Amino acid sequence: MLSRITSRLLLISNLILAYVAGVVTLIGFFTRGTFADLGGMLAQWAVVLVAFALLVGLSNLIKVHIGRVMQRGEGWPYSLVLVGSALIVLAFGLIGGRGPGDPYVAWMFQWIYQPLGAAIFSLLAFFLTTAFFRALRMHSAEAIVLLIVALIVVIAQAPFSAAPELNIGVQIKDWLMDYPVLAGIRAIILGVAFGTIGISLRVLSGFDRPYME
Amino acid sequence: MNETFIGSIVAGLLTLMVFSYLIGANPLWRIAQSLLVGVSVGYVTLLLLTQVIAPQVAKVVAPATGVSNSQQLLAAVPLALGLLLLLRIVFPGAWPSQLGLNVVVVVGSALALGGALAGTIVPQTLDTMRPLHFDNPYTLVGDIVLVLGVIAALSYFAFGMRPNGNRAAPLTALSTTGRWVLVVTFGAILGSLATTFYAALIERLQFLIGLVI
Amino acid sequence: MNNYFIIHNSYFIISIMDVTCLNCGTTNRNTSRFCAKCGEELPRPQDNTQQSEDSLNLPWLQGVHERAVKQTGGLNPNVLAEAEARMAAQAQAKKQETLQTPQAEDAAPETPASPATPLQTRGTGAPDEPPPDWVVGILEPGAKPQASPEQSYEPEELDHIMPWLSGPPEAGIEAPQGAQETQHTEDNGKPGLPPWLSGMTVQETLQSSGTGAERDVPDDPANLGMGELQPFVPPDAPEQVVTEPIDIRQASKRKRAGSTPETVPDWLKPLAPRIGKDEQEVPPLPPLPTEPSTRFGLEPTGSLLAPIERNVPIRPPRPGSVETLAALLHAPTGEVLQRPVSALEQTPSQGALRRVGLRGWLLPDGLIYLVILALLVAVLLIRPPFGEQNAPAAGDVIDFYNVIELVPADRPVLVVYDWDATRSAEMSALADAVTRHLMARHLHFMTVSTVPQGPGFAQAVTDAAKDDYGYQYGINYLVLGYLPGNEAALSSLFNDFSSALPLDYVNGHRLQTYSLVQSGKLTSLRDFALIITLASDETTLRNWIEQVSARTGTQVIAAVPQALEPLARPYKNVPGAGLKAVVSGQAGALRYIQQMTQRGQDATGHFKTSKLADRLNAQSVAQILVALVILAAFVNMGMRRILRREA
Repeated sequence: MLSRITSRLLLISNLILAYVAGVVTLIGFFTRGTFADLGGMLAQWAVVLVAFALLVGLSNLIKVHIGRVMQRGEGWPYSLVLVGSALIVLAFGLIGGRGPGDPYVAWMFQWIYQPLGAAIFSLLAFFLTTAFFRALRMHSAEAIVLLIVALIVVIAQAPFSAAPELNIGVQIKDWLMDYPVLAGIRAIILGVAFGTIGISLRVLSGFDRPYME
Repeated sequence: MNETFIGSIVAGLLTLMVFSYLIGANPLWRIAQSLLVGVSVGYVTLLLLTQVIAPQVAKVVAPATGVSNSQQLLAAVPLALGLLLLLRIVFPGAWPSQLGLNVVVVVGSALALGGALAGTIVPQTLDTMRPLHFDNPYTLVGDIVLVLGVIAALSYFAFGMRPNGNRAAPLTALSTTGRWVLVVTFGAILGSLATTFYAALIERLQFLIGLVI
Repeated sequence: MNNYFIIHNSYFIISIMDVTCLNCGTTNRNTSRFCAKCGEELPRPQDNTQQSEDSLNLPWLQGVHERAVKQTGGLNPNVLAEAEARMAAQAQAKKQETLQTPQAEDAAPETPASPATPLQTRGTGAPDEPPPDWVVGILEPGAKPQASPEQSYEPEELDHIMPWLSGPPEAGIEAPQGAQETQHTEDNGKPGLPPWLSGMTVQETLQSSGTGAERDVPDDPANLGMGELQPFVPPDAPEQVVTEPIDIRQASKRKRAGSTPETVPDWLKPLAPRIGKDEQEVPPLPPLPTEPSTRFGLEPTGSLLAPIERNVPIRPPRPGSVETLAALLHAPTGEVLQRPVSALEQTPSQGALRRVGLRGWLLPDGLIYLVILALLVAVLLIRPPFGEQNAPAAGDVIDFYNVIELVPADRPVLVVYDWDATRSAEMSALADAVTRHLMARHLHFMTVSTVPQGPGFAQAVTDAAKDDYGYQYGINYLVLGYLPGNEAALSSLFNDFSSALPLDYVNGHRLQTYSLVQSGKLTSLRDFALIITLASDETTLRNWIEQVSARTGTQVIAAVPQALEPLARPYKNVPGAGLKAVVSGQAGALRYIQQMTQRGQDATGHFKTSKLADRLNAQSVAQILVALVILAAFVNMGMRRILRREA
């Protein structure tokens, strides 16, 4: 009984908070003055809270990997590398007193993080190429059209296509990009916007309460 | 040996470790992967602590001159909610954390709603309805393709679907057209992706060659 | 009609509804209209609880509903005690009844005796529609499912599909492993429910499905928690009995991890890396070493590691079933190598796998990889004279350049570093060119990021360029840092960015300590003359347009990777919020640098044009290669069609 009352109170307080914060932010978006200031304040609160939420997620990740190291679970040496590197970056940043601007942190960012991220991303060049080779195994008309358009774009975007002899290819590509491709992307963007509005209205009206899960 | 030279060697080795994935998943690849995640986690945690949370704490504990008590109190609200959010590290289902999440979700939804309306739907729709120029067939055909393409591709999404999953016949024809518009769109995106992926790969290879030569 | 509860171990409640024949006393199912023994018409159940007209009028559904609602009553100790006492009385009554009318039990063995006192009466509604068999199994644990004419499963097939309905397996035939793990729950006298539902009320099931917080989430992201699920396999293939070793070691581990054994069925083997027929005949692997120290995660189980043979009836799972997913989630070769192998199983040797792996790797993927690497390295090493680069696909470069040129000298610019390491190849070149252009024009600027890695790049790029133009940190430019929260971050910056980001990124000092901010002219986003977005994905770019451009009216231009250019194009030069200009890719960066050089603004510092030209030469070769691969795919498809037609 008590728990039911508590959960009911929690639900009501959450709904009131949602209505008030949502309406203030929404009015503040379209106006200037008090509501805009209040909306800005709420946005700042949200930024701080997102930071806390991210910390929760990151600490959970570290917790899982520390647990794996302690229990000598499968792949624990990799977890050790992960936890160790995270703590080293954190320690240098905090002990140096300059935070992420610390020279050692900047060194790790430039010579460890950046090359790793770029190299992993560059692997996709290999995989995309082999995917192109396999795309027609489905024998579908869509795959054929998709590859033909990709072929036109790949050739016309290549730096050598600047040669005047290849200008026709560039023009075809430009027309495709300016009209049919633009239409497709615009439809996707509009679809996303409609979806965003629908979801936002559900959240603001209290039909969806993802924060209570 | 300066720090740049050491950094270059480290970066080169890490790049090779990542490239070893082309042969197959191996310990070197997994170490590189763990290192990337670890450095990233440490770096993001450092950023959150020093750029968002510590300044917010300072606003409450050691406010700047001219800051009123009410402002100080208001700055304490997100911190308090954030601390409640941290309960999730130990108690994943802790109900006090709902209030903080509520603010994040609701403020984000309200801003997304306003942004989608003012920043996407209105300008994108306006730009789609272009005046037709009959003297220029290039743009005339293109503009018609643009309008029809946007409508067709939008109809390909679930709008207008009956509860039984069927559509009216005109909508079916329109959505089939939309499907082809999207196929062309994705072909163009794939072609552009190839350019970006190869740019990343070439940059890495150039870096490695620069280390050797 | 009678309802009563059977309470077992204080957490499981089953009620049974039945009808007693007035003529012979035989207990019949509540949906029966005539007695199974004597054929006498059975009394119609009385409807004491009036249903609303809108509600479904199905008796079996009502039974489920009642059960779901009444489960919570079982949590009350008083109700439990009362029900237990009632159950004891029922057992006594049943014993007496059995002694009196043994023939009645023979006639209807599937139904228990009628209780002495009904707990609650039930609405009948329209009794024409019988409950589904699975509901019968739950409502009347002893009852066999009614075979309808259209029923597609034989009872033994049903036993296989939902083994929990048939109770414990017969002696001598061991249950499937998944069921075996939950055998203890079935042995507790709770037939009728699948093992993964036993011990749980319907309400609890419904409630727990919505809340993920209290669930025991496995650490392994690949573990989808399918371990406790019973496979649903339609009888579309003949059943076969196979001998499968039980790995107790793995079973115990799985029990902890909550996963089920994954086996790759024969029909799925073709999906695995190709293993030739000749290699199938290679002698099997020797048993794996049992020393705990030899492999990670092994438990010191000693002799328990010896495989145990058992007979398990299995059918090939249909595509899309749980087993298929589970098998596909795990590498077949890995499974072969990790599973303890009995002498009866024939698996390829590790050497054979390695040989096949090399061949499988090389054709065609490995070959394509090698060709790509060889070509690109050769071009970058040899640096063939392809001539001067005239970068195409960046026709917007002039517009982009002109927008920056038109910024008043006394107005600051905001540069947004919303890109991460993955796009650094293109974005570093673009960011360097933009920064040098701003410095060449002696414009003051600040950088901000909504991507965590952004400030790091902002610091690196500005540090590399500042000395060439005599720029000083804090006086001519500032690196503000990172704000999380996407839309919220931009909205918080909107009114007062020094309140949202009070400390700078490089030194961690208050913004008011820097002369760039001290003038008081810079407080909100509206104070900037121009916003240059260096974004690597569509979401961040869209956020700046929706949240800032739409609200401030400040001009926004964007420098993006080539892959993002099609996605940025719809925002270009639209009425209202949008982008004034877009420049993309390394080709755009080179053209931009060339434009600055032509206008006498030296911008050939960090990213020398020769370096960029080398990259673009290699890019040309790479894109020719991609085009050839696509053409090869078309040729391959044509060849296959011809061969198929000939065949």
